[in-house]
Formats: sequence, C-alpha cells, structure tokens
Amino acid sequence: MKKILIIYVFIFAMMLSRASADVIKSTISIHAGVNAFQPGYTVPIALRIEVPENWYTYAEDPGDAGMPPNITLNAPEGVEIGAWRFPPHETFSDSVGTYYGFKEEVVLLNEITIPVDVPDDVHFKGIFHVVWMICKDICLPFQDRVTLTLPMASDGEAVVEVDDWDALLEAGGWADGEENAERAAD
Amino acid sequence: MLRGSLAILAIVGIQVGTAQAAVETGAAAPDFTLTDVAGNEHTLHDHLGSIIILEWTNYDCPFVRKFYNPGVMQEWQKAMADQGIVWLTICSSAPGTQGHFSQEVWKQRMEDWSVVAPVLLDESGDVGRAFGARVTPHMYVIDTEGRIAYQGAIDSIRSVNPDDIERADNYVKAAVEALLAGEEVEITDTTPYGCTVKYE
Repeated sequence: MKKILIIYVFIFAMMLSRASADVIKSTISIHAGVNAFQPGYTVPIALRIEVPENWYTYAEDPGDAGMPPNITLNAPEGVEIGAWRFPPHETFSDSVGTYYGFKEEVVLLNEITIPVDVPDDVHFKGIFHVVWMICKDICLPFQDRVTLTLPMASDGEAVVEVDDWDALLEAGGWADGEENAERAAD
Repeated sequence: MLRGSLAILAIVGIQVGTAQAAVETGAAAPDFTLTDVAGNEHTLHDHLGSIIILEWTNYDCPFVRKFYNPGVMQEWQKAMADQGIVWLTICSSAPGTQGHFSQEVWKQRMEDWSVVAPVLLDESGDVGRAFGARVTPHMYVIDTEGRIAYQGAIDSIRSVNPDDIERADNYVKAAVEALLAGEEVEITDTTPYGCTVKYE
C-alpha cells in the first residue's frame, strides 16, 4: 500500500513538474501582515498567486471546470489556521460553461494562531504546500512549497503591520486593502 | 404532504450541486454511432441490455491524467468489463484542439497507458453536445433499458492529485453497484469536474 502511494506521489510530481517546466510560469509567495508574532494572538497571512498574461486561476467556486487552489500547512503542533478567503472574482464564459477566477494575480487571506506555550525566543516556521491551476484554452496544474518564518515579539515590543501589506492586498483583488478584507471576513 | 415530498426524493435520487443537464437523468440516452481509433463502429443501442458507462476524455487534461497515469482508470475499465459492463470512452476534442490526435498517436497513447476500453472519436462534438458533456472526465452510467442512471463527476474530490482517488467517493462505481444489485441509484447527478471539452 505504502509502495503504491509512493508511486502515486512520484507520478503526481512528474505530472506537475512537467507543466511547471513549460514556458508558462505561475508563481506563489507567502506573506505575513505583521513583523512579529505574539503567542496566543492571530497573525494575518496572505498567499499571492501570480498568473501569466491571458491565463486565469480559479476562485473557491471554480464554476463549470477547473479547481480552486489547494493549500495545506505543515507547522508546529498547536498552530491553528482558519479558512482561506478569496477576493471578488471575475467571470469567464465560453460555449461550454462559466468559470470564476482571477487574471494577473490574486491574494488569498487567512490567519494563523500560534499557541501560547511556545518556547521563548523562537521563530515561527510554517511550510505551505500549494497546488493550483491556470487555464485559458488548456489547463496547467502547478505545485510549490513556500515557507513563512516570523520572529516572536520581545516582551513589551509592539507588533506592527508590514509596510507593503495594504499594497499587496490591493494588487491582489482586495480593492480597499485590509479594511475591505476584514469586512469580507465578517 | 411530507410523505409526498419524501416519495419524490426517493424517485429522483440525490443531486449534488448540479446545473441543468442536456439529458435529464432517468430519460433515454440519445443513440449514436461513432468510430473508435481502431476503425470499429460502435452504436449505443447495440449494447442495450447491458449497463453502459460513457467516459468523456482528453488524454492531455490534468484531471484525466490523474486517473490514467497511475493506471486506475484502466483497472476500473477492466473490472467493469469482467462484470459484463460496457465501457465506452469518447473524445470530443475538435481537430487542432487539445486531446485530438491522429489514429497513430491515439494507438500509441493507448498502448503507453495499456488502455483496452475503446476510444470513440466525436470530432464534430455532436454526441458530446447531445449528452451535455462539459468536462473531461464527464461520466454517464446508462441502465440496461437505455436510461441515464447517473451523470456527473467521476468522484467526490475535485483535484488533480492521484492520492485523492482512494479516499474519494466514487459515484460511478456506486451507481453501477446499485444497478447490479437491482437497487435505486442513490446519487444520480453531481457537478462534473475537469477540463472543458474542447469542442470546435
């Protein structure tokens, strides 16, 4: 059984790397909204997906074809993550159906909570494994891993928002930056 | 009133997030004659009396490759054939679009994947449109009297990861098992997932 799973994983990796190795490139990056974390408090995070010209990636509800990004987090025990939030999508149609997604780039939002009992002076490290798809007349799957590291705030140190957070969100489909993103989460 | 509603539910089965289909489940499947990649003709109604599975395909679609690369689709096709079930794979990719191959390429690709179920060519897309096939793989199960018993996704996990196959609910297998047991098909319609069919 284990052997079969290994073979599946290998084939899947080959299938994805074949697409990724093509001329067409789509990339991801992970961002934290603050410069450090405080144990027991939430940290806003953003996953950015860049989409090549004339292609699109899919929304949470992809419509009649395709698939939404699949994101899994490998992080220390006790770290909690919420549901990923998508900005307003575009609608695409052809003779076959209607699809929902994003051109150029999209930023998905979430929060992680790092437990209160983490040792002092540690860095948070979380590895996000992402499988996503881009399409136009054909579809290409991609997969990648991105790592988020964040230092713990020192006692009495204020946690501050990173400089480019609002700009990141606005470019990624959240028209009014974080304020709009917070409303969407309500 | 409640009893009446429950009775209707029992008759129509469960529909999982589906859009309007070209052919309603329970209605007669449109007859067709198509030629496979080896040059043999297949007429749907010649197979009446058997359970029939129709699978829309595009060998270069990642969602199709999910099932063929690890050999899972081929295993299902063989297992179904062993039970006397007819499995017809249909490609509606128009010339010049993804998934459309010459006869030689088709034979090679089928050999590479050890595919034994015939692949029927529907270059005009007429048969695909008659059934309302939207994606690959889009699956149909037809009962022994020629009525559509199930249409929709192959399984419950919309992904391109073969690791998901084993833990997904296989709607096609469930429909076939119900028909073989003489029982009602519980889930009759689901939203198919995959690549769009590459019609002309």
